[in-house]
Amino acid sequence: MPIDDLKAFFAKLETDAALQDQARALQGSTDDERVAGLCALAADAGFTLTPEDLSSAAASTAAAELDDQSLRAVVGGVCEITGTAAPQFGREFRG
Amino acid sequence: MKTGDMRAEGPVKRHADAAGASGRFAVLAPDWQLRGYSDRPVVLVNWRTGRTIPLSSTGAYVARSCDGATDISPPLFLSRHVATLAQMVEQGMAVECAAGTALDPRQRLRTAPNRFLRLVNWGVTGRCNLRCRHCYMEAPVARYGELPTETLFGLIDQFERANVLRVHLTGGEALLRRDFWTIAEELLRRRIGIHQISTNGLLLDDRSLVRLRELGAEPIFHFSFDGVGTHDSMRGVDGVEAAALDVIRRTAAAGFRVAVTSCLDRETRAGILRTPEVLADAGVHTWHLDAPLPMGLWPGSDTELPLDEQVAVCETILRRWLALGRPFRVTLCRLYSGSPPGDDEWAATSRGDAADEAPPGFAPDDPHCGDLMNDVAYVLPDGRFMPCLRFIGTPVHEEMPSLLDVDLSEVWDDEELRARFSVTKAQVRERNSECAACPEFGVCGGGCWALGYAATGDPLGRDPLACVVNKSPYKKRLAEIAAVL
Repeated sequence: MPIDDLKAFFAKLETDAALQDQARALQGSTDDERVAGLCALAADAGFTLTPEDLSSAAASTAAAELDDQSLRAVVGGVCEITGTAAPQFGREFRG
Repeated sequence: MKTGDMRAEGPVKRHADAAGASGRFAVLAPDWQLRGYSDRPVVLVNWRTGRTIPLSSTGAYVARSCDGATDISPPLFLSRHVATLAQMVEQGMAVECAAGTALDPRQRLRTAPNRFLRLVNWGVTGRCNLRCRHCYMEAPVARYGELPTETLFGLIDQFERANVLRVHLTGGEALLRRDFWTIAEELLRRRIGIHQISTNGLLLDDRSLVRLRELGAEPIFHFSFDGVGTHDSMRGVDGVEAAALDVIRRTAAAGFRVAVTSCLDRETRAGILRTPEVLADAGVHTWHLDAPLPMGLWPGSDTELPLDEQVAVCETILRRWLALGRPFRVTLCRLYSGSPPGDDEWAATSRGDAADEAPPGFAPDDPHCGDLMNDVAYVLPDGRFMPCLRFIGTPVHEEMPSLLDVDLSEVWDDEELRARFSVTKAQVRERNSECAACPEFGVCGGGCWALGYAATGDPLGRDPLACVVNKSPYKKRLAEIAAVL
């Protein structure tokens, strides 16, 4: 299942810093060498990837991964007492 | 804006690297940096504004590759990665560049061993140049003292190791420290943002405001002001009111966001009623009005204002605030909160005007206080860690660790400490028969964890003032006034 392998390999690549370093090491080579090198890295990691899979993936369109919710993200809450919006004012701390 | 239709050949241009090969290279924009935690592996942070974006694995892969050296193009990157990069560029989080452009090492991913820690409220001194009657920190007698500069630098080391994103500098009177600006500069040098400075303003001059700007900091200034003609009576020193108003005006005029807290009691009531117009004219951004907390020097005060009289003040102020066109954000005791028209930032993060929205309600498994040990910590002037300042003076206070003995990372991830504060709403309702039978519990939730504990001595005790407020018609009455006018 090449498509599944493609997804699974890139899922691993996104989270595996060592694999990323190995992939980055392919940068100085030609396009064909990079494709071949990446297929070899995938094989080492237990995935079956072909140059055609990679070409087809490169040509596809996909959504960006920072959606509206992420881009608005501010972490924190609202204090029950003051109703103060935490991201702007923190918890009240009146010195 | 969602950019789902952004193609691999989006706005990110191809650049030639030193060897002449073309590719897509980018670096994080100067104010953005990557931080990691045990519970949030990669967070994209604007250290100046505090904007914080937890990244998915795809976003993290792309952001980590914004190092000026990684070619963000096929076959190592798929179209969704390139689209994500284009979005980051469009949002100002990354900039395209030539291959080999250097990234500031402080922007690279730095992972802390602890959970996410957004903000430390840091009392840098327990001393003060005023003698406020209600001071929860008992600063007039410098109860919590002051640590030497080198010890504070050690605490900054701890903040850095824990990946604290921002600090709120407070006191006592923070500016009373002669090394205040040295501390501020050290924080900024390490790209720990200064979120807020709480001060009485007496030592804040225009040169200091300019200096902060030069350092690249845009903190919120939080001043105390206790009413026109009554400020000095609460602050315990004659002749400081004019200076307080002057610094509020100057700071707002200099373009900083200014928040003001006013304490309501019998002595300040008349002056508080004269205050809305003055604060509107001064250009303040937020006004918090509240009765003093039952902590520190305040308990036993004979000037406390009963709730029904607080309500009368709040109602008058609410009408004035509405007549003025809602000039600033306001919180009136526990009874009303509102914001200027079109304040989207407030709408996105607060409960908003009660009249416009259904009460948020609580689910049984909700934490009794969602703030405790969540993403904000407190450090007292003596170096003691606190989960919330409202525990000052309770049995919890003395049991909290000192950061002079234990590292913040360790304290923040202390499972025993976390378990202690992981009380749920269901537990509070079960413990308190009044809560179990109360139709308002879904809104009240037993009130504030710490104030309930302080009042009852029971870790599951209900907050008595929240009980009174939520059973009363006052919140509804104020919300109706706001809805009609």
